[in-house]
Amino acid sequence: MRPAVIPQIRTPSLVYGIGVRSPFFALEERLSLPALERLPPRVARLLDRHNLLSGIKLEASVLTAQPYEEKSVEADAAFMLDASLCLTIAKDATVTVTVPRAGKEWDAHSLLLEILPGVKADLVLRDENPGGGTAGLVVKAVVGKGASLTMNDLLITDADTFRRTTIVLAGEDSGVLPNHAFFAYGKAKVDVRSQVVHAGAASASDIRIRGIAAQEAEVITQGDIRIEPAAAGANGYQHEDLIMLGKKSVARPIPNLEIGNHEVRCTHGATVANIDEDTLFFLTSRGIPREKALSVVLASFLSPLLTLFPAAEGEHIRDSIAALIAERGMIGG
Amino acid sequence: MQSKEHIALQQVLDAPSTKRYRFKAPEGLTEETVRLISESKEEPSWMLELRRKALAEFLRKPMPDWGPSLELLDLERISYFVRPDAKPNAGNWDEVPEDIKRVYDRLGIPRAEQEALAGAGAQFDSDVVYHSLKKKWEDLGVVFLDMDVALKRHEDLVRRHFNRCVPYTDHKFAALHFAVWSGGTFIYVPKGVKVPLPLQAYFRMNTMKMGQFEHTLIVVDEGAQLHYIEGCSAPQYAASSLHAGCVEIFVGKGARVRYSSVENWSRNTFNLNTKRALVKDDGVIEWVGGNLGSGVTMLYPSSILLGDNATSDHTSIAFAARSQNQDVGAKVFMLGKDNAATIRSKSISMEGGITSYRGIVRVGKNAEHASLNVQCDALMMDSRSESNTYPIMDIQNNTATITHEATVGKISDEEIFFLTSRGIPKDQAVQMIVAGFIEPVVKELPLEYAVELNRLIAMEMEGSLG
Repeated sequence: MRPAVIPQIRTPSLVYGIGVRSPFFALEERLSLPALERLPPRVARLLDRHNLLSGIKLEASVLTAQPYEEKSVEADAAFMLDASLCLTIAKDATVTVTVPRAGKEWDAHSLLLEILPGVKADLVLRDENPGGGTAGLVVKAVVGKGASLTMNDLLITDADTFRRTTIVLAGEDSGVLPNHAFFAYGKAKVDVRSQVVHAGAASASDIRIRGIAAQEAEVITQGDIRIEPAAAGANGYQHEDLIMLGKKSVARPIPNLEIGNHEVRCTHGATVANIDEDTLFFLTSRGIPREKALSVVLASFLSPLLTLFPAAEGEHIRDSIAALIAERGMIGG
Repeated sequence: MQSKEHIALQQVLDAPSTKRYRFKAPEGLTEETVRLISESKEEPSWMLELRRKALAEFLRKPMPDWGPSLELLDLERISYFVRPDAKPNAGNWDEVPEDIKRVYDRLGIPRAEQEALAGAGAQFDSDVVYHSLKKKWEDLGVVFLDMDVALKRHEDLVRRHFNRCVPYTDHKFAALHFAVWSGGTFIYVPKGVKVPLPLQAYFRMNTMKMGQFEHTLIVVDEGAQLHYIEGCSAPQYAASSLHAGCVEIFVGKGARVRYSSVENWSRNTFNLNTKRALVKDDGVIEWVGGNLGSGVTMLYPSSILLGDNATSDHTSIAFAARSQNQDVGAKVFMLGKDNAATIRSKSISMEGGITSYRGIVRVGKNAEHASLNVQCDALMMDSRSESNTYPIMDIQNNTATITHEATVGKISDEEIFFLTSRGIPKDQAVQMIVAGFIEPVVKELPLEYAVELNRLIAMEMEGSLG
């Protein structure tokens, strides 16, 4: 039976109409919407069945702009996202996808996932060019009955980029844990959107976004939880925490909830703050140099998410941030 | 089944007075209607000019493409100016026609005025039919007048503030309001004067297929203090009515203003109101709101914290039952140093009602050390209903500390069992739990209004829980 059509979140005009604009808004105005028929049949069916082609123009255009490689995954695997990928994850596996550096003004790729019933999948998104320019990425995933997806997404960038993630919990007892961590510096404009649609009963989600905006970086983070009327017993959680290091940095957290069933529990939260000076003083007063103290505090801020990454990835992130701070001095105003 | 008390109250709210107008403008909005309104009030030329510009802006702007659907609002089938058959601004309730007075009697306005208010105003359709301020406050320089009268007696003061907090260009329904506004309240509290009892205005929209566009302008000077309360209702009709009022509040240096309102329009009403306050150094604005009635509400009281150490507090409850869509929230713009704000929003949806919290918080580039906490809690009574939360935060200064949290859920079975296992009937148990849920909002209202708000919510829920 075809699931009910999932309408898009009804706020794009509000977000864009009241002075909070994605850096890619101007691009969206120029984009046209390629026809669904140009996609490979399996990809088209996946997108259409769960109405995953709807949404703002940018996503739809990225989804249909490039050729797709279709692959089935039955064991741990790693891919480079040269073209766009459509992966069917048929057995428990950890899939690592490397997002290439950005070539043109706004390079973007798409990744479609179908997690088959009962499968436990871990997805790790890593940059080919951490600390530099990274292509934008649209991720759409459908999670089957009893299946789960943990998605770990890490960005370290000084260039404009975006992540747009939509996970549909189509099956009963399906779950997703999207973790987004980023460190934006320089004049980067970073737009991270993570949407979870609960269509299956007793589905569960926990969106976690933690980011640091240093120097003159501008970040928009939007976490959307949508619970369809059929999703009784669903649990949806979401938290966005942002640190603004730079005097000229800008942070725009936008946590949304759309709840269509009352037999659920849903909460969201968002915080924006700077590094607590008392915490830095605690470390520097014990002889730790300020740059090192800042690295420790920022790593600690990201650690609830970093522990969810494979150990090597977590270490890599901590080292990258420490190196950036050491190279650029105290990252701030 | 509803109790007799609640049935009686509902009859008061829903029953129209008999046809009670001496003039009703033709349906639809033209420049002729705008001129007619201005000429009938003998307004100065600058006001007519403002109305004309606002009309042009209204006709130019498109309908909003977000929020609840306004498809059923036919702006061509609304009468924008209806003058009741009553003497404007009576200073004595005996001068108000009996059938109109009866409505306000049953709503408790005259009694409240005697017992608990510093002054009261009552608007019926497009005119204020009663207005009075206790002499004690008049002697201290407090001005509490019908807006039309204030424009004549205090033209300079009005002109300096009118349309300055909410520009007519703000949005389509602000433009409409400024084109056809009529009636409303003007309050001025001089420096250092603290008015300990509230001033109240009550708005009743009696005529079918009309729009009410009262304008409330409040200027509270340096170090002064005021609590102002607004209430409203309308009879239930099959055709749509429109309420697009506007509230502009100027909070002077070190002044404190509390604005409380209980909006209980009938289900056929579209309530598209605009409320905003400008707050100077050390000023405080408190918004306390209960949104119960109307079929569609779009209401986002805004605080613009211009000065240093300015503070705002938004506390509200929205209730949406069958065929209601309450799209409400708050906007806070922090532009001075050391600004602080809290937003506490509660909502209840049942029987297919839709509640949405929609908010914007903006911390400006130069707004050092801003702090803000937002808390939204939504209760859904059944799966036919919907609850949405759409907050936006735009933080442009890195010394800010911002927190936001929201929860959505139903009344837990354990809580109901706790009460029913002690012999309390289920529907009563639910009402008790709901009363506890809204208590943080209700306790901010004066006792009479808190009781009234609890009564109105209980009335909506009575007999609908199985």
